[in-house]
Amino acid sequence: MALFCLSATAVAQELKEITGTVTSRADLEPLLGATIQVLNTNRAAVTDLQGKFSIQAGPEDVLVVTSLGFQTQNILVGEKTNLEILMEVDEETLDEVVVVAYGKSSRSNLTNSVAQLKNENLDELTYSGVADALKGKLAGVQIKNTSGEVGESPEINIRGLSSITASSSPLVVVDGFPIADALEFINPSSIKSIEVLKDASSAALYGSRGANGVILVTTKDGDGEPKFTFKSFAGVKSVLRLPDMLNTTEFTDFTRRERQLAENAQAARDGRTPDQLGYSNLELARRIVAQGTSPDGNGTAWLDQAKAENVTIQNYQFDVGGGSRLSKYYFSGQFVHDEGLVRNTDYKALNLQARFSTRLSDKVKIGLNFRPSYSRQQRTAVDFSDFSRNYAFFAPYHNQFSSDLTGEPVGSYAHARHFRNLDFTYIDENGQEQSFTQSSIWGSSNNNPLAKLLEDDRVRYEYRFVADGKFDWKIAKNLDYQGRIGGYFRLRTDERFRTSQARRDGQSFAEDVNGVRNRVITEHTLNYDWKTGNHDFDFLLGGTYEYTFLKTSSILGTNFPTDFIDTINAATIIDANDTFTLKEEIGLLSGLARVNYNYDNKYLISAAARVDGSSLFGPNNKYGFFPSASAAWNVHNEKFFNENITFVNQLKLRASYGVVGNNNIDNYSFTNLLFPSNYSLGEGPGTIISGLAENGNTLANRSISWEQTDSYDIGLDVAILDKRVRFTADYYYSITQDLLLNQNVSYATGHDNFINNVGKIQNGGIEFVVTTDFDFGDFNWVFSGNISANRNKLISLGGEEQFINDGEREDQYISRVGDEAIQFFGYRTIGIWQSQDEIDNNPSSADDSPGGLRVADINGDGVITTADRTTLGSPFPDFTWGITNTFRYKGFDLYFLFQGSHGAEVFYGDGFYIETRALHTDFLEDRWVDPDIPASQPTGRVGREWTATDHLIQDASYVALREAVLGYTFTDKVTDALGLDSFRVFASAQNLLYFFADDYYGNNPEEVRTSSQYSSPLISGYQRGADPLARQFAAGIDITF
Amino acid sequence: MMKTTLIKIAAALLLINCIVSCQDAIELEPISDIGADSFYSNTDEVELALIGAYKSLHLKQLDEWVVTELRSDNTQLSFDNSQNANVPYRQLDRFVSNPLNEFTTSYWRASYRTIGQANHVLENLAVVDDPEVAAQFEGEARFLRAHSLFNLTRLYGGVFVVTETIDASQARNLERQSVADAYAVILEDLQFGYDNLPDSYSGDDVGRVTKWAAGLELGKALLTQGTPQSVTQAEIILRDVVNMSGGRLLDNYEDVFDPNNEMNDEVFFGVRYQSGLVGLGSPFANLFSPRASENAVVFGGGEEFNVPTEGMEDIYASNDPRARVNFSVSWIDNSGNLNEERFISKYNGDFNNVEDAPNDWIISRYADALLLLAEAINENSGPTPEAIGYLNDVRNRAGQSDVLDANVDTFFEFKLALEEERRREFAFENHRWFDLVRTGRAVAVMNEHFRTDFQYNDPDAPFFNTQPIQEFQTLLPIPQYEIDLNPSVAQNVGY
Repeated sequence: MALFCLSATAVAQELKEITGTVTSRADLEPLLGATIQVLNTNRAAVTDLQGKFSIQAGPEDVLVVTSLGFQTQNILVGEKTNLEILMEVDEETLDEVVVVAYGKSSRSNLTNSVAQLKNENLDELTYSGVADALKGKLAGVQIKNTSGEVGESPEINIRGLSSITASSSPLVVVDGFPIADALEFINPSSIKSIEVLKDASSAALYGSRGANGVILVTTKDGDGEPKFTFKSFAGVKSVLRLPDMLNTTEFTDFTRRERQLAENAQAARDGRTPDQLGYSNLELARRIVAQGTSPDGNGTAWLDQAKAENVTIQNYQFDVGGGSRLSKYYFSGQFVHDEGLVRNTDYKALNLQARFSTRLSDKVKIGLNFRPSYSRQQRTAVDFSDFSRNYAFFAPYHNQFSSDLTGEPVGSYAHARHFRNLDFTYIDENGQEQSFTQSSIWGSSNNNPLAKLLEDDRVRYEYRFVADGKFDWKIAKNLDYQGRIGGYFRLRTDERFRTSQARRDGQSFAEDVNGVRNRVITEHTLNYDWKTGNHDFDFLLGGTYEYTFLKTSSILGTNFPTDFIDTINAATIIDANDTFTLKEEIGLLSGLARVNYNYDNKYLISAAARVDGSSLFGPNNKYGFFPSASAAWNVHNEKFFNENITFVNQLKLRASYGVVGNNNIDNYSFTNLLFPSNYSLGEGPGTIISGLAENGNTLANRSISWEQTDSYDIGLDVAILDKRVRFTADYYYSITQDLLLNQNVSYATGHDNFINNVGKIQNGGIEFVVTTDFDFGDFNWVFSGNISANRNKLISLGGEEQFINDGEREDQYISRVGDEAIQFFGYRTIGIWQSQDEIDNNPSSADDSPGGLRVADINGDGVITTADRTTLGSPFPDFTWGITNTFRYKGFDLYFLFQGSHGAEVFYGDGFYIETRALHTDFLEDRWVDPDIPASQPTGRVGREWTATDHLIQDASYVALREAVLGYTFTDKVTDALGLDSFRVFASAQNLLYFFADDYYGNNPEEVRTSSQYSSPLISGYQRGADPLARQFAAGIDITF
Repeated sequence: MMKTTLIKIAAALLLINCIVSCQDAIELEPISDIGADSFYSNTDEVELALIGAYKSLHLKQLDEWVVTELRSDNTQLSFDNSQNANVPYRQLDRFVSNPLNEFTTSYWRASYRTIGQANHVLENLAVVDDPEVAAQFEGEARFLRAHSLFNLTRLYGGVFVVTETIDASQARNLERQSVADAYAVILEDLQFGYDNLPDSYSGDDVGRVTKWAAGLELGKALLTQGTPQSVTQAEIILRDVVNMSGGRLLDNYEDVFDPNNEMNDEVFFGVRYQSGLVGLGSPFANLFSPRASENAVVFGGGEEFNVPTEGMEDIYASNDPRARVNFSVSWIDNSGNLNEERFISKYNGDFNNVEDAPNDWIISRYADALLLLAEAINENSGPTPEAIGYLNDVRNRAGQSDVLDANVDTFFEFKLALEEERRREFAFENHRWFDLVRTGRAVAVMNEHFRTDFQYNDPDAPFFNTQPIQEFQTLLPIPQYEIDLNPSVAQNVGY
């Protein structure tokens, strides 16, 4: 940016009347109160409401134009008598602009808890989506990967668990338009900043939509000459950690050793010399097959079979923006190709964005945003744990050896069931040929997991088109109207084709499920500004309507004549039961109002309210009212303060209170729905007869209504040392009442649960953020650290003391009044049972067995019953933190993020499988073999079911060097020579360091995943089949021209 | 100026448009489903609900074998399945179950679902104008309710007796009622059906509950209740069923189970299944076939659950055709090899989609009426020639000679002969466990079974070996789910 810096001399000259307007270049709004001073004189003028001024000046005079928050301009008057002055926003001195609900605010005038993240290098991180890149950077914002699949978006949780309904995802608003899943498809390089509205008062204007917090995304727009940016990176990924498993040689040695130990103990009891046991026939058969099917004779490392080779990520981003006084435009495009660590998984996406705005008249401005996107996600058909619980004996495909043995063709998939009733010969230690017949080497009837993975294609296509139009009309001085209408359209197509090789039934199968989600939002707001003296009022009044239409259609066909046609036209049979269409619609009608009051930038008060009417509730309960209020005191603007304490630049105290509502329930929950429930009657094979029955799962509740969260926040913002050091602290407390919950109900009702407003939950927490920014000559260091801790507590459950929910196995979860909202529940282990004698003489129950887990008799009644179940730990972290550091030296910059989570526990569901217990070395050390051999670990298959106890509950704490970016920005010399505006190269790494808790056995403590949904939202922390963590390295360039 | 005016008009219209249209905008009715509130307004709609209640039998039937047949000496969990992850099955097979057991819970849940749907029908009969039709619907619904309650009572002891739709708060305060309370409802419901249901149906109504299905169930319930009066009454009703129902033994045992000959003269009532991927297929062929069989036994292979015990091979004479109808002892795999492995083949009709077999699960049939009548007579009067004759009828149909009178000339001998014959005749029809409980023989028979069957004494898997069971274990535990919801619900003794 060119600056005029002329030294003017005071020469006598002829003065004339100069008039002009001062306008902000960013929004082309006239600037009120801008000062125009003739350099080196005391002649000055101030702009009026229209930004107009007039001043006496000569042709050689220089006008100095200043306006708070804008770069000062010096303008040589020359021959002109009318000046149009466009002012540039001053990023340096301007108080940070923070985007808030339905508007913007300066950081210092903010009364709420809002976290801001500017896009520094979000787009240089090797993620396929934006949400992952936010991890660890915002205090109080938890980002959890529920699935390790590429392209799957993580779950975002703001300030703990307030609601307990299925979804706790925040609302995402992009440039003022709510787009629920925007973080999945927004081009990271187009993002200017992200704001998170954390307390209820900041989110209250979004009413029920803001119940779980709000994330505001502001994208870039163009200005001035066309500016092109091209950014690209490519990287490689590898698996960070896999469990240690026994190969066949080790496994057969292990089982033989255990048998020998048992024999030794038996012999000792019998008073004889123990026999030296050789391999059993089963062990021999397993060894023979492993030796014949693997190069090293140890069998197949199935986990390696699951891993993809040379996994890469590529990302290309391109944008161009520009504009004139009247119109602005900005286009951006991103293409990303992200490959999964598991074979046959990847994600491709093309995300486009076009923004256009123009001024139709002095008073009317329109803007249009278009965001089309496309993605294709190749998804895995099996859990990663399918591989980790596969014995190593046989290879994925038959080779000559196993083909000769089983009669199956070479190259076909090998399955455990092929190795049945086989004759084996071997040479024993005496050199004698021995032979035997083995009925089976492993009783699994399942196909090998590689067949299931490779022969089952699951692809998800998503086509989105989001468009919104904005209409700004300056009705009168200080009175603005804004109308907005937008549409969100998404077609999601899930295609699946399973070949005849995928499963043991040999049945091919194809499925095509199309889901349309259509949403229209209209919004009207009126804004009125009123200023008198030091009093500044800002009124907002508005109404919105949101209509959502959903349609799902599904068609399922089986028995394809060939595996080479995968579309359903080739299916021999259409599955009538899975072929359907479904439609539903949801409406939300709202009115909103807000008033902001600012006294001399010292005292700030804001009050807002929203009324929501939702179609999800029954006739008498549709409306909810959500008020909020907040206040702040800018202590640093007080005379007594700034005259005495100069090293403190900012000291602000904030307090807020707000109510938000939640309507996140299944549609039509207020009435029992009837579903087709046909039956077969008539003679012989029967005829289908139509029937209708109530959905037995959820019992309707006619009086179901809004869930409501009242939340309080107090905060402190401090900036010292010329704002080089900033500190923010927040304490928050919230109470959610009338919790919406699918509450378990006695099966005697004929139903499983019913939707109810039940109970109260309380959340409290603290958040600290420290940011420092220091220069040491050419060296610049920016530090940002955040730490947050949240505690939740169940205050009541509608008169019940507790709810117990059943997990996938015998694992249970308890929600008990007075405790954390969810805890693991079951038997507490106290070692293992060494002998039957021990069982008989201690509290026990029928399912106990020597070598099995021994559990505590909690109630001390001498027997083990379900009354001995107790709480076993918490799935919630005690605290989470993130630390980022950025170092800059000349052209170089180095950025890194450490991030951690502490105190959460996870239920290691993989440990349910007998193969996991037999093969994972973690479970084998000092395992029980015989009553006379003291041991500490249970043996895999006997006694009390492990999942009913705390045996598989593990510490999910971790510390990660999540991200590191090293960049170099070329000097002007180089860029000028290349004809570029800027040129940067960077290298980044992810999970360079990763520290697991000692007793964590799995691949990924961050991932909480099941193959199917939990049966209740009051279940948390169960992990099965987690995909491993990835370590990534990438390099990229960033060019502007 | 013109432009600005236009824009103003447009904006105003938009506002007005919203205000007007939004009145209805949050009053949205279901599109793809129908709400129950406005339904049940005429005979046809009540009948749809009744058919829906029949359909709910599928859910109940799905796990019934786990809580009945698998616990009896007829079947067991295979060795492979015992070793693998199928813990909940193993717990029931070996009587080491606990209140968290998945199937103990799922069977309970399914039974109450049927009861709830039957109650819905019963509460909406007022709109059925034709009194005869109303009586028929009532009889059908009450049969479905009584059948579920009868099974629950036999498996769990005293249970919740639910005779009307209850909401969540009523459910919260439910207490277990006595077995006698349950029988009062069971017997009254079945009596109503017996008095009001038609003798038979034609066309697409065949398969609905008849008078005689209700009568047989009533006789069985009375016999199970076991008071002197009830057994006397059972004999009267069962004799009517045997003589007046028009039912008969088919000449050929195999034909009774032919999926193309369903609802034949021998069958009183069954859970109906139908092949063809219409959501009505039977899963049992796949559940019971050998795990390694691929498509060699039935389409889609098997899970190898509910495996016939070795003892089942011994109870049939070599010329008894029932053995091979009920189960197979070997199968030939795709490579042509013979595999010696027992599995239930009774439900293996032809089908070419997984869990889509056409075979009905027969709940009650004429042979059952004959043997129950013989049992009732024996209880009341000892082994009369009439009673022995009924036993012989069933034996003769299976190509077996009459029993020697000398072998059944005492009450107890005849009782054992009936027990054994019922085991042969109704193998894998989920009767065995109920028979053992009704006759008070469960503990003795099961402990003998555990003592002698190899799988429960396998020296290679000593940790699975089963301790003798006690009387309390003949009842299942009340699902912990119910007690967790309402701690004042009592658990069965011993759990």
